[in-house]
Amino acid sequence: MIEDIALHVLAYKWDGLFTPFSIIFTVPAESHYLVDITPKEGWVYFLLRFGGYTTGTDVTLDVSYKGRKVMDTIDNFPDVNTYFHLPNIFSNIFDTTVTFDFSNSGTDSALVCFHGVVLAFEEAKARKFLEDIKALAEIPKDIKETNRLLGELNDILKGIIGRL
Amino acid sequence: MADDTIEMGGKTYKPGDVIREIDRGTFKIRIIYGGKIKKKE
Repeated sequence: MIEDIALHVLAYKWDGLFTPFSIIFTVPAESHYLVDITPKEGWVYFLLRFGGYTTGTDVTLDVSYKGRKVMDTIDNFPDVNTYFHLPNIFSNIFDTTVTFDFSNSGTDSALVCFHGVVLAFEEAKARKFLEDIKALAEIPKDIKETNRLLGELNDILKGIIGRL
Repeated sequence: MADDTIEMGGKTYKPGDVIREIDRGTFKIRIIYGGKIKKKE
């Protein structure tokens, strides 16, 4: 498991940009609302986390990428402060649109708040970032490479702290 | 108004119409009207 601090330092190393988003919209009764997240040209992204809440009791959410669902349907979109994490976030590097399909099967409209955090990279740097992530995640397999990487992360951290 | 359209803020939207677009620098977010839920036969 990659610790948050390592994730942030590696993102810093490869010029990753963390961007939170938060949107509020009303889904009419018995209707779909789609939220598309599309990277700009030359960029790719990871979806670190997303969540939200709704005033409705019959709102479900499907997340799809290139026509395939990336996780099981989320039934009854959760209450505030509940976050969902995409399974294996680092196996999902998105280079085109991810669609979030909010479906309100209730007979009343429902207010939805949807929020999350995107970590975006220039395409080539995302691959380098992933290589580092894998090296850290495979500590027992290659301790020498992992130690080198941890030393490098430590130096980056020292540099960051030195500038504070 | 056709069955599968909605009216919001004085505008009529049909399925696939973009309601709002937000630029966040490295990516953009679009909110799209997806149409009525199809009832199962």
